[in-house]
Amino acid sequence: MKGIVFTELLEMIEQKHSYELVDQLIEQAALPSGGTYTAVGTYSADELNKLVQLYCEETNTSPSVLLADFGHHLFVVFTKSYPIFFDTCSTAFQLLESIEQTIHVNVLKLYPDAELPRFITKRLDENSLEMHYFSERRMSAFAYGLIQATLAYYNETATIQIEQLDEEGKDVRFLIIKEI
Amino acid sequence: MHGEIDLLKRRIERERKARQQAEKLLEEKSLDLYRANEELRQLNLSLEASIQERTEALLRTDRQYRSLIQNLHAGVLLEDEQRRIVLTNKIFCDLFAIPAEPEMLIGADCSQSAEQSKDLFADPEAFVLRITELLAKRQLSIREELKMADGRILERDYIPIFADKRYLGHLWRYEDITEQRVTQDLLQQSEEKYRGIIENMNLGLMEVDNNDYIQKVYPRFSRLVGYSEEELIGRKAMDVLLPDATFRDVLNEQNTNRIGGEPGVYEVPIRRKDGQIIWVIISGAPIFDGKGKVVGSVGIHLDISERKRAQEALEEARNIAEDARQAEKRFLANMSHEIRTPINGIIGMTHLLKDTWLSPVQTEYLDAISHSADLLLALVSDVLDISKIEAGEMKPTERPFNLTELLTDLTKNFRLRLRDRPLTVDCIVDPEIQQNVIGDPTFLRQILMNLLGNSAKFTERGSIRVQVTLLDRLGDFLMTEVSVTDTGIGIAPEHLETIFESFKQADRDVKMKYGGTGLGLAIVRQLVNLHGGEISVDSVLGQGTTFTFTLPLKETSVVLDANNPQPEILTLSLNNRRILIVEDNLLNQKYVQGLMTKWKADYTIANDGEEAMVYLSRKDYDLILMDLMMPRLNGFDTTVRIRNLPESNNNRDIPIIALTATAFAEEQTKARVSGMNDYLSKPFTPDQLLRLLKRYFPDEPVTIPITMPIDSASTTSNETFRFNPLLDIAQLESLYGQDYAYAHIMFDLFNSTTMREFGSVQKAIDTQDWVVLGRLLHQFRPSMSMVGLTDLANLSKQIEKLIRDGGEMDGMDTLLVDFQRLLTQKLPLVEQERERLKSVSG
Repeated sequence: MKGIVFTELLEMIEQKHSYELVDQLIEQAALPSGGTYTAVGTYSADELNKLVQLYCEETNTSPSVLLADFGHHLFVVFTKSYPIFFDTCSTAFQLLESIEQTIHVNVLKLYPDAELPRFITKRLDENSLEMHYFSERRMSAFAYGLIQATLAYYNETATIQIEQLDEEGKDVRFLIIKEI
Repeated sequence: MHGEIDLLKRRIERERKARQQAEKLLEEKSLDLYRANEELRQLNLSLEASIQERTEALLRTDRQYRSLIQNLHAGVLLEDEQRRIVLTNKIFCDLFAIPAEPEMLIGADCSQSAEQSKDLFADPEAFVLRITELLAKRQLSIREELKMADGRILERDYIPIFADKRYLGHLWRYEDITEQRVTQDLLQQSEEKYRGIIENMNLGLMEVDNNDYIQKVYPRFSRLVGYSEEELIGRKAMDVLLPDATFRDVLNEQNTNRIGGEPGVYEVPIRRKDGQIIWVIISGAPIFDGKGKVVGSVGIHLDISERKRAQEALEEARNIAEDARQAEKRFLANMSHEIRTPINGIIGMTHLLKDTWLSPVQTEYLDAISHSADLLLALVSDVLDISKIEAGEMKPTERPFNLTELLTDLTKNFRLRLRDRPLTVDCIVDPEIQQNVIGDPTFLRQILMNLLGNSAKFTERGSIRVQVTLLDRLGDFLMTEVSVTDTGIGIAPEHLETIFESFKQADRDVKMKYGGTGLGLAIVRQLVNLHGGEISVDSVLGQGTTFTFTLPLKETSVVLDANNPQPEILTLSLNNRRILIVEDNLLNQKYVQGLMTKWKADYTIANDGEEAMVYLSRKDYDLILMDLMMPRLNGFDTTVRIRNLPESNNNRDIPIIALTATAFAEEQTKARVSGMNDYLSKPFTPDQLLRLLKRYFPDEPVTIPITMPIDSASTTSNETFRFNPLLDIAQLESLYGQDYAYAHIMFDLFNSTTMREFGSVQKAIDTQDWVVLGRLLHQFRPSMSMVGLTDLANLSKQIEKLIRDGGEMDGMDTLLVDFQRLLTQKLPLVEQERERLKSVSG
């Protein structure tokens, strides 16, 4: 998992709470990397799961809420760091559709070892977009947050129906219907 | 406070580590980037190199093509599929009067070019139409000819260019062929002009290919053969026009020559359509294509039928004349023969009359008669000789002889005859001629006898000289020159030309004063020519004459009678020699028997070949005398058998001498071929046989003198006896000398054998059984000679020859009448002579 996910998660925790909590979680988790992350590095997904788990216990938060919040947080980071992707799209659907087609392709150019989730999109009609999420990480909640953030970025409102297609949550269908 | 510091410390520591991690990653990435960059650079370099290389190659090819096209002798225009100019050259611009450099035209649009330049052409619309058509069809089209408005002629190629099936454009090639065309036209005009001339000259022209198939026919030829052009073209000339198979070979040979590039002139009869045969003279010449290859031939035919007819008429006339000449010759020969018989009678009777008592006046008259008769006889003999020569009956036969000996003998003879005159007779033989030579001594003797006789007649004082000079030697071949020079009266220059013609003596006065037949020199020239030489004469009136002739001879190492330079005193003993005589004729048997007894030979007589073979198987012999015509086994076959005897038989390789009744050259050749060593013509004198035998027994000791010359009275006691002059005295004397006892035996034998057989001869004549007659005459002829019936023998020979030659038997009747008349006249004389001989031989 890319280091930016770790640095930004810890960043968000620090902003919401304090660096003391971050320090506490790192110390408690006794992580192989020692909790020192750089955005350009790559670390084990287990470390993220451990941190999420400890945080949710500590703050009595559900992981899906945390991950959705994290989606929002990361989206803002992306808009600042990689504005080019956002400038070329004028609607939420266009951006969502460009994840698989453009953004991930460019990510892989920089980090050939990155393990990315897959987003298969399909326009059902002018205002409905079906989006399939496949990932070993089972982080559809994080994706949900990103979708919400996207809609907000483009000042669009839409209902998002989530349908888990398997038991583990590796295959999830989002149906996004724009409100006019 | 302390807790906060620790927390900060941990945080800073984490940040530092994270930074270090990031820096490390950055370094790695940088390195990766550098490597990737480096790879890219290398790749770029090699790419650039190969691009450079390809570009250069392309440039080179491009330059080559451009240069090629610029330098072509033709105008070239290459257009792409949009009809934009890719390439053109100066000549193209010149041809179409485009005022621009070819390079400037690259990329220009050609879609309107045909329309723009159409006025350059004689037929502008056709030019445009054709271009449109070519571009639409996109099919190769070459060597189209275009006439331009200014008279030039262009040749055009249109070449569409396809890569796989994709059309990429096309190439135009235009070439100015005006000059070529003009030359070609001139050539054709000139050809046509000459053809026209030939046609007008009454010469028919026809062209055939290499297989004799007619390709082209000109009107005059059509008229000549009566076929139309359509009827001839494509047919085999020989089949249509040449009916005579024998002339096809001529034509085939000519055709072969023609293919080899050789011209030829020949005459053949050809058949017109109407069946008429006309003779033409054909002058044939090969036709070459542009590359010098023969593609056929052209024949120029001239009708020569008229000339041919004239020629045939001439030929016929010539034949008639020739026949007439032959008839004349035969007449002459017969007449001469006819005349000789009575002359012999006159001479004989004159001799007999001289023995009677005569007054001086009578003696004088008788001498005159005798002289005239002698002259007449000489004349007739010469005429006979000439006619024999002209009839081709006289051919030289080659045999070895000693030249010096022959000349010495002759000159000695003349010296004796002319001893009363203040005259020397000499002979000089080139010392280069050492050995014996091969030639015809009889011919040479006769030539020299005539020339020396001539000199003797016209030379009163001074000298007569015979000289032989060797002109040239080539291996064993000798070219000699014989001259006879005298200091006589000479010949006037105006007569030198005709001196060798028959009956042409120098002038009337000579004839009056010196007599002679006027045939001598004609005979000499004929004989010299027959012997392969040429004769000429050189003379100064009042000073003398030289006759010079060339005489080809061959040198031989055969030894004749080298030990015996004086042939008159031939001696030989056959003491120890065993000789087998194979002869069926009793008379001949007896004659040879007599000689053998004289020469003390140990002889055996076999009556035919079969008998001979029996003797040969029993005893060894030294030599065989072999008759040719014999019953049962003839001489040729016997010889072949002898030569094929087993090696153990010593008789296998002994000398065999043929005794031939005929002097026919082919029979002598046949004798040699069958394996015989030599031949002797019957009748032969003892001398002739002896000379021949000496050749085979050269080492025999000299013991007995055996010659019987007429004037050397030797063995006989009766000097008053002379043979009857009505018989051939010379022949009888040479056969028997003065041995009348021997002669008597022979006459006796003739009387008891041959004489009785004449009944069967008469019978063969009556029944016209020519085969039997020929055989009988052949058998009896030698016997006739043995008793002095030379004229009868000669007549027999003529009859025999006529039978041998077969055919019409022209003149047979006359010959047979003569024969029968002579027979009746002469047989009683033989009987008489036998009685006379009996009385003298006791």
